[in-house]
Amino acid sequence: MTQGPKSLYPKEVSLTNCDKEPIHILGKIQHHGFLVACDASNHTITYCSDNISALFDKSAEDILGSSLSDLLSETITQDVLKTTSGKKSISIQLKLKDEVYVLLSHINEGNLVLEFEPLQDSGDPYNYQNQLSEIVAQLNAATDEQEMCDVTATLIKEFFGYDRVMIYRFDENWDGIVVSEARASNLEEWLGLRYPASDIPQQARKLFLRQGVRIIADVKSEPVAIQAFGGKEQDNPIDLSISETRASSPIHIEYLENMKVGASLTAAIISKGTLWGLIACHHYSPKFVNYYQRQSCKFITQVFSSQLVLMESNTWLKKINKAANLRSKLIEKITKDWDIHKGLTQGEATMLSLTEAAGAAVFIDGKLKRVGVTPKKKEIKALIAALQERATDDFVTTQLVEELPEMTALQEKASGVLCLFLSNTKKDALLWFKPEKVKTVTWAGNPDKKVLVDKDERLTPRKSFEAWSVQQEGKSAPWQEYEITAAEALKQDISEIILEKYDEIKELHNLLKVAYEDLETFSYSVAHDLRAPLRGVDGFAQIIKEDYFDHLDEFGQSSIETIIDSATQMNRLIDDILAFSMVSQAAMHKDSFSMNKVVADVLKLLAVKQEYPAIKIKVQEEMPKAYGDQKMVAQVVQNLLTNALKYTQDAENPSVEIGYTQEDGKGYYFVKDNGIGFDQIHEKRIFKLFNRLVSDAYEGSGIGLTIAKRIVKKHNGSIKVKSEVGVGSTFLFNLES
Amino acid sequence: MNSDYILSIEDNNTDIVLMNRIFKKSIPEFAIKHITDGQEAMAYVESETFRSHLPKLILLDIKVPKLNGLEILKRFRKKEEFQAIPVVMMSSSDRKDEIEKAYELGANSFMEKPRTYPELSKALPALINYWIVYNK
Repeated sequence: MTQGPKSLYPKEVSLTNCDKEPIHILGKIQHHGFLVACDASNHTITYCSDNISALFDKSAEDILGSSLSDLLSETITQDVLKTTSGKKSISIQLKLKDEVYVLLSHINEGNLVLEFEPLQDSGDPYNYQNQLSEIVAQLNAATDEQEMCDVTATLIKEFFGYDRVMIYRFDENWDGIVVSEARASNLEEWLGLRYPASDIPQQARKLFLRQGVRIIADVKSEPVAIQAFGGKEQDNPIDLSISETRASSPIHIEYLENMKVGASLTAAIISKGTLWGLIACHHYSPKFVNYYQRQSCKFITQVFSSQLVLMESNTWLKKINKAANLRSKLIEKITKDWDIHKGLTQGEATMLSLTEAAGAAVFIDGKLKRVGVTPKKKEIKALIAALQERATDDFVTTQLVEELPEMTALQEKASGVLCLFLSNTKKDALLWFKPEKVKTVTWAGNPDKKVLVDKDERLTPRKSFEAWSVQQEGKSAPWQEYEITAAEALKQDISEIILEKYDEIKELHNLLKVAYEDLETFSYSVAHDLRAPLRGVDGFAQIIKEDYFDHLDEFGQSSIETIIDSATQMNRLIDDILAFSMVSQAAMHKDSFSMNKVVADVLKLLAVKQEYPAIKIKVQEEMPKAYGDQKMVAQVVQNLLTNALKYTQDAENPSVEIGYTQEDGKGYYFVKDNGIGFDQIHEKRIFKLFNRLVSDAYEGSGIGLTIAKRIVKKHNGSIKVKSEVGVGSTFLFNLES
Repeated sequence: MNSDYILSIEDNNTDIVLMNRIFKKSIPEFAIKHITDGQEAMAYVESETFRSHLPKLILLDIKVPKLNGLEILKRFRKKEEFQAIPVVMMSSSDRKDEIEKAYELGANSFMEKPRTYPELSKALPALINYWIVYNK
């Protein structure tokens, strides 16, 4: 501390800056103690408390500057000088003026600090040992954290006789909550009350880490000032960080007074190097607990801490094991049928069981699957999109709306979100959701009014500690370490599976490509090789018809006709199969072209006027130009037209209309007829290979529409049909979606 | 054998029978000689018989055993003295690459084999007329 004396405590300190209050160099000790400090190297006494004359018949002025050996007997001095820096205090019992004192010595910043406090022990040491082992036994027997806290609170109250013993636990914001309490029956209950972090400021928490157990023996007693040798103590304050008798900060004293507390004991519960919580004991009158009792208390907290760590790691281990088992089950499921979505969300074991979340979702390849209680699909997709925009990779929150204010719709079901992206591209994600947990948080006094201004315009701690309830919204239960660990492990597994799957699919794709090409070649040559024998069938039937027809009876003649007809049909089928395999084989030559010209050409090619004189053909003038492979598109038009003509020829006033229309904001070319139509439920079937809805009365291979669809798809377009039996069909297509 | 004749290199028996019939019925003024594999065809082309009595037209199927039609065409067209003989390439397909190749190697025509007998019986005489009668 380099601040000048004027800026030191108390006048300048307020609650808003009480984080800066120099509580370790207050220059005072508590009323029950005495302090002497000497230079650790030459043993010249440099500090002593004002009240020292009560112990030694020498005034502070006499003592300051003299040697330690002038004050203490030789044996005591010898013992005291064994104190080493950084080590634990040495405690020596000694009798001064007919009273037994405990002399505690430690070295801090070059000062050998000796503190005297009364022993005041009336307890039976045997009983005391028993009680202590009882506490340890009960702590060891506790099966969970709550039970441990309850046992500790009750036993400490019995052991030390404080009016109220609380186990006070810090949350992630250093707010404290009373998780267990043992109290005298006349006292109001404080269990469940919450204290803002400012009640135990940061530097006080730091001191707890160093010191462990502290008492304030009498809140109302006046602290004793410390004198320094050759000057004011404030100019060269003594560091009392590890002093046992150090006086408390006036703000803390005021705080306790506001609570009507007369004495207190506070013991730090330290877990894994951080302050887990406190054992806070309040007494409503002065109460002193001697050094050995405090050491016992410290011992209890140590047992408590180790038990806590053990319990936590046991629970953690169990949960991690469970999660690992579950994960291997999930992976097994996924690899069985290569369906990540199904594997993670269906069946008994799902990704949800990996955590304590209420819902989960997997988003891979643009496909979203959910399990449990989750927001709507649309909402989850919006969330993912928002998270993809963020710079950070994974996302964990217990208060989504606080972080992403536009996500208010998700507050109820997903205030808690854990989102892990499967790769840096942030394309695929695993998500878990925890619902909003609306809860009533009860503060000990209004935490927003913790700072009050008194009549001297000085800030003081709040006066009221009456329960102050606040409804807490928009927050979920916390994400525990094991949940995140398990989720991350799953993410790792899935990423590997995806990579593996990707490789397999790539290989499969290559195989398929080869097989597909083979098939194309195959169907092409098969179709060709069918031609020659077919020409034979047809040719020889024709020869018989030409030369021997008259020699045949009626049945023979019709048989020959049937052979010729069948050969013709077979030829048409081969044409269609060839055309079909051509679609996928042929390279596209895209260009812009006139649809009207294509339609006119096709009408000419099909000789519609001659072949179907009864059908009225209507073509819309000036249809928009199309962009694509003109030859292929002509094939589409031809197939749709052939189809329309075929099924319309027997209708009354048959008509076929070709044009362009808008539907759902997209443009479509259409071919509309008033033919026999079909049931709309067959919409999908009709585009499938060799799938004919009608009887053989209508000739056709069942390939034409499949080819049309394939061509349209090759153009990234879409094709659909609307039909009604007896009314007609309308086929619509466009070339890019 | 002093009459005008057409040389056909064709392995399909059905087609051979059909072609013979068409020639007999519709173009009896021309004889037709069939050779059914590529090697035999090349041997014939290089023989004295061939040189002393050249065909008026060669109908060359693209798919014949031992030596395919395109190869036969390539070798045939290398010989100076045979340049004037029209060669009509025949195929069951209308594959663009085959057609291009055939013309490149010196075919005078490319005909996709008609699918039916009636079509064939119209196509063959028309072809003969075009290459032989008109060009005379």
